[in-house]
Amino acid sequence: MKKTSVINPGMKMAEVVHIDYTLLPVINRFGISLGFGDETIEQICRMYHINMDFFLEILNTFHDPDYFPEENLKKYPIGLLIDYLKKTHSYYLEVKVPELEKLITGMIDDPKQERQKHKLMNEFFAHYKKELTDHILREEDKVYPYILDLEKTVKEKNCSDEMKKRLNRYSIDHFPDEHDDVEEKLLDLKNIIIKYLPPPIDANRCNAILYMLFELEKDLNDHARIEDTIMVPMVADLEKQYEKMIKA
Amino acid sequence: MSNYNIIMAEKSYLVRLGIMQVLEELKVQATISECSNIKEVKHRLKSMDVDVMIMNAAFKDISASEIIQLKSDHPGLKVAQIINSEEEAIPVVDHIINLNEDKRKVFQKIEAIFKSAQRPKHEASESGLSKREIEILRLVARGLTNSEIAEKLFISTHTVISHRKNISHKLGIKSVAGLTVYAVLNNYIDGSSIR
Ligand SMILES: [Fe+2]
Ligand SMILES: [Fe+2]
Repeated sequence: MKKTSVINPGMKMAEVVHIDYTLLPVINRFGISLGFGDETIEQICRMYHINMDFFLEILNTFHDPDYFPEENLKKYPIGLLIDYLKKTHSYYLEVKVPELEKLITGMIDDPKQERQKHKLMNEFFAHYKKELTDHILREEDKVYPYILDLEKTVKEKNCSDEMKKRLNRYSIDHFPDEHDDVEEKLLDLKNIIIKYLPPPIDANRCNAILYMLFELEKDLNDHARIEDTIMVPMVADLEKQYEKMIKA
Repeated sequence: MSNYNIIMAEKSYLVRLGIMQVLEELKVQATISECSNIKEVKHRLKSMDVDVMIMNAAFKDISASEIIQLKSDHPGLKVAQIINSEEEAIPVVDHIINLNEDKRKVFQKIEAIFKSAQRPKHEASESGLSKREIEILRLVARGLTNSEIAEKLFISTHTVISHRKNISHKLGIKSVAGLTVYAVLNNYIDGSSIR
């Protein structure tokens, strides 16, 4: 049955992990390390100087696909969110993808005999990696800087001509709708391994790859959901404020 | 009866439990996955063949056009809606169950849902690609575009697209890169002939 408990400030951090262990990488991303003792979320956030509203929002969004933040929306600066999203990106590119790559490269038992199969899987993964990397780079090079510029401008209520030019070059309406494509290749990879990889293969290794793929898939989906349902509306709101500011 | 894949988009625990009880009494074997929003539904539909989606009228963000789209993307999918009152019914669904109906009616209706969802046998077989589909798969894997394939086989692009949809649906592989891997693994093409 669906778990719908909302994670709240008074909950013990340890309890949260027992409720939903898939939150572990999320917790790590905030720099919180294990060994929580009996500290509550509130205490831990104070200890690590973490904005608790933001932390809870992210935890709940990951924990419950239905959680849709509305009221909390403005309790933290968007820079925090961008920071978090970037951290997630580097977790994918620097931790998860290399881990998977290593496992996949060693997937075929006898690379000499099965050279073609070997090459094929490597190439497919390289393909996936490129697509994911390109998507992430587009966000980091184009979208995020725009958002930060926008936030700064609105906050300082002052916009130089050069900034105006920069801001006019982009709008969140164009936020790339690529999440489905990236997801598609991951699904393909899962199915190839689950349904179509002929023996001999190293079963343990394949299981490990699959576990990792399922985990990555969930994490990526939640990440994309945060971008689509939290970030985009926040930016749209900033854009409105900016328009007003420019007109005034 | 064969095993059905069901999506249950119903938030009420009691209603879910009730439906499962009815399925058990009707001896319908089913794998049930619960979804709580449209995104999850789409996601589930992508990763497996779903026969029936049972959804509540109060299910968030689903509209008639959304259902039409789902049904055209996933031919064979039957959609049943659970309603509290007639006004809630979405006209495009296949079956409607009213929560106020008596046991006999409910049983009849649920049985009818699964009768209508019976999968044609040939589609479910594992070596499911037809000769034509294999031919097209080969060309896709070699990197030909839809219009190039159409030209080569003297068929319309539209037909190529519909074949490709079927291939992806049967195999569970959508991307060209993925189809290529499949084609090589199954010796439909020689790995060295790619690109
Ligand atoms: Fe991202
Ligand atoms: Fe993204």
